[in-house]
Amino acid sequence: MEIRKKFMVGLIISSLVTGMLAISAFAAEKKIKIKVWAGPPTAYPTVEEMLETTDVFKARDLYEEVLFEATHPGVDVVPVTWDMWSKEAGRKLMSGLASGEAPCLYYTGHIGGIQTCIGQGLVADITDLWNAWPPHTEVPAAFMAPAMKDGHVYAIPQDLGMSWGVAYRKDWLESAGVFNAEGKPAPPKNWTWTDYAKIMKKITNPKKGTYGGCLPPFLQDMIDWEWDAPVLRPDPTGKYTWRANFDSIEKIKLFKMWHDMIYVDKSVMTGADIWYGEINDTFKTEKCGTLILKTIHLCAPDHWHFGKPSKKYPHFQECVGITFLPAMPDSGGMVPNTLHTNLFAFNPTLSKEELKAAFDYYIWHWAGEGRSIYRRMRALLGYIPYWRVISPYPENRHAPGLPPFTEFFPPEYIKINQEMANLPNAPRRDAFGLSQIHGKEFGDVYISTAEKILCDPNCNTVEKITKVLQEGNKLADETALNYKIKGQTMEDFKKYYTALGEFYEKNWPEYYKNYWYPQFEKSYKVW
Amino acid sequence: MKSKPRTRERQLKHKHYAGWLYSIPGFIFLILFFWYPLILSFVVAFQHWHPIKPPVYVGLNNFQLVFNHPLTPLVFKNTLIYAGLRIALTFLIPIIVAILIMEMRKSTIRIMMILWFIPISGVALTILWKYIYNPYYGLLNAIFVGLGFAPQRWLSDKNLAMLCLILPSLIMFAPGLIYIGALQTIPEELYEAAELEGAGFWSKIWHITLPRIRPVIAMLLILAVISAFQEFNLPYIMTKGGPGNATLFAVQYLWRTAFGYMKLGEGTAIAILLFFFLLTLTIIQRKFFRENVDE
Repeated sequence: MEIRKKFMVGLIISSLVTGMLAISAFAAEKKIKIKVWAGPPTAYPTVEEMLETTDVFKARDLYEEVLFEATHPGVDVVPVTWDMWSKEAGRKLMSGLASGEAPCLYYTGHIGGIQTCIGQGLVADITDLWNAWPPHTEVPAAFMAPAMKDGHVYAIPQDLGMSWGVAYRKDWLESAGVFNAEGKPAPPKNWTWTDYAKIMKKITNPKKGTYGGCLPPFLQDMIDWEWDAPVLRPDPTGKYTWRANFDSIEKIKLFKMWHDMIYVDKSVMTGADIWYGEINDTFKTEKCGTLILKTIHLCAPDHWHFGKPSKKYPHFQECVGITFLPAMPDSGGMVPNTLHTNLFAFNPTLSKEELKAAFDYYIWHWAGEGRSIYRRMRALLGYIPYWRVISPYPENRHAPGLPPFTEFFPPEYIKINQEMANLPNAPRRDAFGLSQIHGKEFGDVYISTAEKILCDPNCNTVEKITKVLQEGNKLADETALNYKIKGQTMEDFKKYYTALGEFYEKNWPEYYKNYWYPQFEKSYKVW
Repeated sequence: MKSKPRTRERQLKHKHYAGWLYSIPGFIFLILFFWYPLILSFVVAFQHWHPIKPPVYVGLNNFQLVFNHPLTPLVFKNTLIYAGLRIALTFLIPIIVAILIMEMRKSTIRIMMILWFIPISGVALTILWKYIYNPYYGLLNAIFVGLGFAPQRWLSDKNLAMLCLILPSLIMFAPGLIYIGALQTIPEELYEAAELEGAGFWSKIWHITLPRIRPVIAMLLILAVISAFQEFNLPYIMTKGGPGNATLFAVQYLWRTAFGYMKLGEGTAIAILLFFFLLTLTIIQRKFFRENVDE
């Protein structure tokens, strides 16, 4: 009896405890959990390990997380270490999405890009959230165009903006006697590819084994992609949306100029083995005197230490100037707006509440208090300010309360960056529902076509170049462009090309006359 | 006395169970990480696969798309040429070299073995070779020019790029050591007996050396064929399939299709085709290449 009694009492107490725990669990506020990207998988697995390393920027992440939770009660921020950039990132993201382990926000460049992902339903529609965030009107259209389809928004920009430009060694130009109208060692203002070729020839030194520049085939695709270059034309039959237009008037001309610089002048380097890292190395190790690059890299501290700067220009900023990309000859100096950023999309499996919390977190993180914390921390530690002259987010362009940019960067850099950011924006295909869906596949065809021209010394005439470009067209048509956008009509093309024509006629009339209109008559006007 | 056979029986039974028990972890591992993905890939090849939506059965559509893709014939042609060249150079040459090394003094053999097998990371070596091949400031062109030859474009030359990818394999894929190991197991008496019979150098190699190391050759040949057809790292790091798809091989093609272009069904279909191709090659190889030394 005694044992039975004890057993019964124990049973009642344990039931009560269990019941109370269950009630308190239910009664507790249900939190919205968001998995945020917290660096690569090599990040510190525990807080203790992180603190031991004295990595203050990781501590900042932790502080940010806690602060966001404190100011947003009901949201539980769960940092997940995630490989966002490696060559395996796409495969991992697909596995993460399938298993439900992917973070709430991710970069889509490794899985075909935003437009491919929109078509596949792999990104969430954030139109309402974006429009409800007041400063969205101040984000330049060039950043957002690739993130949009039919007026809907599918991604937000990372807190960095960049444009394509050219860096040049002032000491090399000076030694070769290259000066601009103001007598400074710099390329002329509004320079063209013809000027570029002449300068490359002048600064090349065969005895030293140094070259003017580096023009690898992949650059063609990289630059073109940022501004909707005329590498596509509408399908006149209406069976598909796009056909490849590699053999456009300006592309044939440009490829011939590049080819001549490589094999006739022998003033620039090229190769199928030269990619982003290598092209930077050629400049840093003083193998060439100019570099076509994204401006953000030039304004990054790691570029300040390179080679052996000259006696006259001991510091990187004094030694290296930056300028716009060259324009096509007879184009009236038309420089496309190549302003762009890394676009991050939201996980479509999130609930409405989770999506709102994730959106709030990232806007706070990149364009709000989160970024302010980061800037303050950098200033306190004596790092250069978080310099973002062309940031998509207005909050980051002014950096209130911090030393002015001019204390760290030459005025020339800031001026050029601002001019690049203020270039007129041409209408973008995506805004007219005319997205190029398989961007990566198309890019690969384009690069392989460019390689066939630039890596072959015998592909040296306009006829041969045109033939290779037309073969590239055929391959792209049969593979990456083998689709038709649902509901797309000839009227869409009419609207897009009319807007584009008006843009060029107004902003770059010479380019309009010599390049755009002849191409329009030849292949764009299909309605 | 009666219990003895029963105990032995029980012991045998336990031994039997224990064997199974010890195999379970490995068996689970095999099922999870080998058989399950393999079976799943056969299923995915017939589906339009989507990471977050239910997959849709599409029959042979993925295979049809692969067969109709204009790059497929080129990719398989590239893979065949690369595999053929690589096997010829990195598989046959080491046999000859190993046999020649065995003719040397024992101390020299040891030095040669160390020289042959320097443990270097494959990726590091590939990056190193990429710089050696650089047409503008690479070591190879410096040697070429120094010897009075015209500089070459190496990795950027569509006719040389393939060969340039094979050269590092000569060092990285080092079956020579295994051959030497196998050659050392051949009893000296066999050679002495052959010499008494009047056999010469080549005759000894043909009638004694090669037949005795045939099982090793057969095993390494299968491994060499499989690894050559599955090459990924070298072209990915050095050329990314260029110039103009001249070094685009099957595995990089399937990787691009599946994960770069988000066409997982098509990518898996390429993998299945490659699987059957390699399986057929292995079966043919095993049929014609007997492993028993005494046959």
